Amino acid sequence: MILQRRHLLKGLTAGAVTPLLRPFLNNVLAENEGTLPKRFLFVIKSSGLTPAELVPSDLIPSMVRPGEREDWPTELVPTKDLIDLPLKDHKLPESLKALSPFIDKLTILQGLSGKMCRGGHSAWYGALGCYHTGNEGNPGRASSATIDGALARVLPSIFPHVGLTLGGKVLTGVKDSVVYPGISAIDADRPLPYQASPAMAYKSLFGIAATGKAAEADNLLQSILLDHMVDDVKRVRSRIGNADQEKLDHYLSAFDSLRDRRRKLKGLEAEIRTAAPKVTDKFTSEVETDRIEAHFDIAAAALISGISNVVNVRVDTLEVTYRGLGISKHVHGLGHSESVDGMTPVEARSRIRTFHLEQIARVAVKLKAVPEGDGSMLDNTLIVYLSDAAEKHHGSCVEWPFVLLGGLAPGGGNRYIQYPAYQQPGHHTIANLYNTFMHLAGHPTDNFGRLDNQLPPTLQKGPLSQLLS
Amino acid sequence: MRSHIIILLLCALCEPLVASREFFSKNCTECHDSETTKAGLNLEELKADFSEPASVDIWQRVLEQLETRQMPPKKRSRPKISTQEQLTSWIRAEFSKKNITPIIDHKRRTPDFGNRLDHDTLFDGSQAGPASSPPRLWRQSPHIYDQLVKSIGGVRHAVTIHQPFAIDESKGVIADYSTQHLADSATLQLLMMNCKSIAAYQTTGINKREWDGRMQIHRQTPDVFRDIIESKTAPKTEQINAAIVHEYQLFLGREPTTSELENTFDLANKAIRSGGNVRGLQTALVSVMLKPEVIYRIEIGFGEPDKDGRRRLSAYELAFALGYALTDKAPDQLMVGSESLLDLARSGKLDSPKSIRETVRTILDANDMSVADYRMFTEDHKVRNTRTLRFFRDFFGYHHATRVFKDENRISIDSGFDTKRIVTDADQFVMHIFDNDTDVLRKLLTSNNYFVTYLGSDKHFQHDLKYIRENVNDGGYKTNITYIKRIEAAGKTPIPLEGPSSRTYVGFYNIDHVNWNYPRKQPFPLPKSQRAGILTHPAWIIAWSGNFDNDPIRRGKWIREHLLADYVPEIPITVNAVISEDRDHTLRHRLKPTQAKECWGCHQKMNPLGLPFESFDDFGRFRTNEMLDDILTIFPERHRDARTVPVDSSGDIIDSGDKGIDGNVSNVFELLERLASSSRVRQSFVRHNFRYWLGRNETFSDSSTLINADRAYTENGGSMKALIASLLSSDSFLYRK
Repeated sequence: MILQRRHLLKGLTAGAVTPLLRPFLNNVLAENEGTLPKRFLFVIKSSGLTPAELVPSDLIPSMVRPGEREDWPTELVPTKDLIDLPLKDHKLPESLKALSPFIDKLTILQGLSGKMCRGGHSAWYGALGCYHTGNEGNPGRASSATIDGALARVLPSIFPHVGLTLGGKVLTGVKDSVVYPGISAIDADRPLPYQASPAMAYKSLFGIAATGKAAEADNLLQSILLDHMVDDVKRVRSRIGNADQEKLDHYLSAFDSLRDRRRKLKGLEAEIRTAAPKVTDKFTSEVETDRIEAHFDIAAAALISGISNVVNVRVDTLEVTYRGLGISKHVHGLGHSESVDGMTPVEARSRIRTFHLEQIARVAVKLKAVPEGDGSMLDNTLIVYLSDAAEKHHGSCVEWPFVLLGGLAPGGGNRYIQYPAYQQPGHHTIANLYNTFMHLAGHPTDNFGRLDNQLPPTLQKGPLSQLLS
Repeated sequence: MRSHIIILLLCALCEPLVASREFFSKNCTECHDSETTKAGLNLEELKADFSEPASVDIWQRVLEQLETRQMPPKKRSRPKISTQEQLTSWIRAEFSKKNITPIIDHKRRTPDFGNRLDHDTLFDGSQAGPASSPPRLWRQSPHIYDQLVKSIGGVRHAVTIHQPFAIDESKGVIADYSTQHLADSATLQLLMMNCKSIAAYQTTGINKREWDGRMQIHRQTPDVFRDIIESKTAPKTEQINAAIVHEYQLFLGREPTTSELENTFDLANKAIRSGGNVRGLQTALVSVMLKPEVIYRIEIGFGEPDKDGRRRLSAYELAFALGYALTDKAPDQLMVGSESLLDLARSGKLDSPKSIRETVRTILDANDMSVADYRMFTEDHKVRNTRTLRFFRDFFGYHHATRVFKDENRISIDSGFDTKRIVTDADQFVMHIFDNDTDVLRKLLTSNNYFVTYLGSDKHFQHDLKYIRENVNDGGYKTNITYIKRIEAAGKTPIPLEGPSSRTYVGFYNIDHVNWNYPRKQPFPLPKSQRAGILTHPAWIIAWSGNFDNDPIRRGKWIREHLLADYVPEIPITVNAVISEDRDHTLRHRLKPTQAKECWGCHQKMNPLGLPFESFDDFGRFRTNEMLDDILTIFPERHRDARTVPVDSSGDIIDSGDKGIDGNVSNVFELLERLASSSRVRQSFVRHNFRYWLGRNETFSDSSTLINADRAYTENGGSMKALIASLLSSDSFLYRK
């Protein structure tokens, strides 16, 4: 059943509006006042997103040329001018076909760079944070909030940031617990967790609603317990002096936020229950593609139910093998140009990308079905598809392609945009894109992360005007 | 007079900056000036402007190089430590003024930074500082949590208990550092779910449908809880207090303090009034399970401060620190002779380093090879030295053999590619050497006494063989019986494994599974010409291999970092490391591009150490010929017509830090023999032990701890137990500052 927010509002008398319903109604009221809520879904793949493979197929002869290296069979022809074309006039690349029903909302964004980042197998926090950190095996320090973390802070919700993943750090395989992939942080030195088990993610996001009416007493006991724990942790904290106090602070704020969350969730159980995904055996499956599908179901439900405005799906890691797609070599091997099962690595990678974009299309269908304002929820949700390794398996970050779907500026979409190449006039960086996201979220910033010292600072400031017009 | 003071003050302020210029021109600018700019660094033009990001980046690098004593290079005359420290203090002070966090402080806490500290400085005795660890909270390991849950009873039979403290395991990395893990909201969510399940299990029980459809209640309810939950009236104060004390004992190994008891009583009382006896009690129980002390090992140093301002761990802290260093059990459950470790500490029997050493030895010795079933190491905690085994696994990384994906085209269903069993063999290999406790490192690197399908004892052997003989329900029963009869008729002992495909796995040791006379007494020697130590064990070889090939680069890197305490800079992001798939040539030949000038600087640290392992294929089988062309299966015998070339297993030890071992080696066995003889390798082993047992990187002030541990190892005939006892009784372990 689809949430009909306006309908719900009409059915409520003033007296029926309890404080418990307020977070949900805030959104509904905002809708009436013309300030629609913004939501973001980041879909982050490993092993690079190849720019040449995002070029509309009819433009390949003019915009793509053979690459010089084995791992780089084709590359974009560098441009000195901004290319801005309507996608409808061209043929979508094969792997993007699933998005064709949403072409009006689709933007293929090319030519940005992120040389302030490390690159390699992963730019770690840098990919979403615009700074240099980490090494081959470890994410290093989160020196400031990443864009998803920053958005989570300015778009508060009951679950400010939902992270869903298949694996942990980039060089690991499928996990089944809470992990820290090292790509998201809500602030300096505060990495954001991701849940690798779809079943557990379901429980923690939608489980509270599942308790139903019988939960009254439990809720009361829970709040007594949380109050007690906050005091208890504070007592220990005062006893241990300055040593490792930060760790207890994290523990303390965990109780605090749980307390806060329960307060906010109270009264929303029915709504959440309506939007919660149907639990299938995919939620506990060991097949990678099943788990990914389950994660996307959860992501869509988290956004639709309004319990979160920022969701990240870390869609794979390098040790993941897409057995469900008939590919018996892990992503790492494919990234190293190893052929598999009669496919070239390019073909196998394309099959994986197609699968990712099909999942994004599934989410888009669900969002489009929920009316919001004069349109649908998709108009107010931006889906961002990228790789934390930038443009290839060992990213150099000189190019950083994105696929954007959904809520840009009104009328946004139906565009292929390619910015002038690195160090050309008019070139821009991922920092400009992230400034754009902050503008869209209603919290304009002109600087994000660190600057690339090889580029004029002015180029790296402010949003991408093309995306806001 | 006043103006004099001002001038003096000004001079004092300018001095560090002038000193830094002088320091740079004396020690650095020969390589890092505007002309040479080695490593892209020009210190001549470095401004003392700490508000400019570009300058700050360089000052960060300068600070890191100086504090790790990587620079100025060893080959040059080095400045006095005090001069160097003046400069680093000044940089830190300037950082602090601008609120800049020194990046090295973050890196220092991470496992992969360990080797950045100059090795010679750590062991040359020049560092006299009193050792200690920082006061710290160390999040419980997943294993400790498992053990805690197990101590509650069979709750896991009734309900899923989630692991809230998972550690992201990387191959060959000692990952459980106190600085690396914390409990946050995600951890708490999982903990909450677990605690509620446990509280239900301890009170009303958990209803579960069994395999045959029956519903059954699983529970373990202490009498003190039963009194409350079965009462129709509100419980008495004494009853509530008794329940709280019980739960404290169970989860914290101690009684609550008076104020803790009062606070928890208040909670219980309030909760019982709101939710009734059962739910109220459950709430109070959960509050005890969630106490920070259950989540973190608290090692603040509650003892008295000494003259250096260090505080010794209190008896209670020490008992937990030792208990969790050596086992996953809390010290009240860890018996040392007739007393628990906690009682020993409380009664003052662990006051001296000597008594701690003796206790550590007692705990380590309690594992007796003659009675232990080595399969237990991975399966439960009946054998106490699981922590030691985990050290070997973290250090060598061989248990990752199960995680290396091999192309399915190459391993068919009957290939016997049973990596789990190979890892168990390797566990037995390392633990046997540990148990014998003489010349441990040398044997780890050179012994050809292996375990293959050893069941732990002759009793287990007889039991399993009997089972195979009598298991008529097994699909392969007839084949098994035919096999056993044929082998026994030949006067040999059969392999105690059911099914031909299981038995074929011994082929990875170059053993013929069809005719092998299984040795009932193990370990047994494999040919010296084929095996030498854990690095030639199929588990290690597979763990450090790729999907299709060996991985000489990462094997070399492992040796460089783990045995030579060196580090290899990470691969530049502009480099795409692709090994040619042209299988007309050997892997050694295909790696030739790494010898290009721009690559070799780093690759010479790795390739010549890893290439001798070309004596093995990527499944760990010894070979003298390497097959060319695409190999479709893993069975060499099916490729008799394949093109082969003789294996070249030569290598080189370059700039190891121990001149005595540098130079060419003709094969893998010479390489390992030479490494095993090196004091540098031994000290590197000591450094990695330090990191594991203390849960952090060593610092220069730990120098005396490392030297003493190294001495304990050598003076006791290569005793790893002495090494561990030395570390766990050191000032670094006992004191906090």
